[in-house]
Amino acid sequence: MNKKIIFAVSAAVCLYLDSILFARLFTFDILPSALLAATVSLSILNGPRPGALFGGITGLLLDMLANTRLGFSAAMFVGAGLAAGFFQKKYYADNIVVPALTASVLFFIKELIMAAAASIGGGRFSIAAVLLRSILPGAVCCGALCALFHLVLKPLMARQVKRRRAEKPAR
Amino acid sequence: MRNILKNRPLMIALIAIFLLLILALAPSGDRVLTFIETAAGGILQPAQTFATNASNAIIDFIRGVFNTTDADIENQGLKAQLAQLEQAVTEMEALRKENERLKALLDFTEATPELSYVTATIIARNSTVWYDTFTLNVGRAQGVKRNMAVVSGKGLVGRVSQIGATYCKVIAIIDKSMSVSVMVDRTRDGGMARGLLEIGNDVDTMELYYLPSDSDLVPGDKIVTSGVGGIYPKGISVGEVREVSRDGATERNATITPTVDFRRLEEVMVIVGMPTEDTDE
Repeated sequence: MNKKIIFAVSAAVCLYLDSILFARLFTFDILPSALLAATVSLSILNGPRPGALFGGITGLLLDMLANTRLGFSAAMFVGAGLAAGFFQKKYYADNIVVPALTASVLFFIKELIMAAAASIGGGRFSIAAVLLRSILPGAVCCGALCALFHLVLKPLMARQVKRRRAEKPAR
Repeated sequence: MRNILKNRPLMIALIAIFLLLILALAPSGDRVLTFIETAAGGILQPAQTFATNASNAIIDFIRGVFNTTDADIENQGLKAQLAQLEQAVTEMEALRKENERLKALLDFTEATPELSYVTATIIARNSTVWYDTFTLNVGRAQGVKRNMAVVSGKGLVGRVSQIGATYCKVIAIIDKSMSVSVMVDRTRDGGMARGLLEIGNDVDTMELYYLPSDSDLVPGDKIVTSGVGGIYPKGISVGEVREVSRDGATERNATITPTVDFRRLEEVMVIVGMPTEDTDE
């Protein structure tokens, strides 16, 4: 399938999930990031540049549509795209654990940064409670989402991955 | 140390985390939206509104799946034979819920005839648990301006912080950056209520402070807006006192449970006209 169509559909679905469905559905302080999961999956399949580009554009859109801090999600997802692209070089796209783990770890880092910012900004909360009831379950959900995206995207992008493998063999 | 400095990926990661922290700390609750943001929001707002309305059926279905008891299972078996009827019932139920919500809004507007409102639907919510903000499908074109109060049928919701042509962003009163001038309805003692970041708590919480030292505050007391500051009209319900903690060591006087259920909020009203604005002018 055409790469641009896959990227556009993924962006639309993830924006819908992150800004509308998840925020209404998850009422227990667990908010996984579909965009982060998709960015990681697309980065591992297509490399750091397309992944970072996808993350940057969709992150910016998410910030404009739903968030009040313009640029934070965009910067985070660009970083996630570049970081996940590192695994594209080493492990290629066959493994499903690598993208899931990468998405979980990146979500964990993102939430820790947010927690640090909230704490510096005057928020009072128990870090243990936040870890147990929000960040860790969110990271698990994000990893599961990434695995799901990867299962769907891998066959759709099989041609691109094959071509890329032929151009750049594994180290 | 030198080895760490030579480790390029580690240095890039540390710099990235530092920059993200700065971005997360940047105060951006109130700012003027750029032309690009307004244009993008304007183009995508109808799609968002459609997607939000379409979500109701999906959310009802998912909640139904997770709230299954033995009686429900038996009931579902019977309902399977009446698929068409069930569809009609579902639609009627959705309409009934919508009717209830809109009736609550109508009751509120009838109780406050001195205020003029614009009704709006929440079309997007903040994608993190750290901020309580959301986007509405009304903007400058509908007469909405920055700092206008947003209410629901049950009470105060927040205020408009960023505004586009056909959409606006609202900071909820439970956001940790928000403070509202309030008073105790029974004693008329004035104070301030601010949002509290309470992760892991099943109910939203605010804290009440700056009350007079001799204030007679008891759990269950109703807290309403005082009207001081000019943003929120006087007498709008904010919450109910849950716990009084007057120990002197901290400035906190009580915790409040907001009257609005922010987790299930769908329709709200923006107060576009208040009598105080007319008298000031």
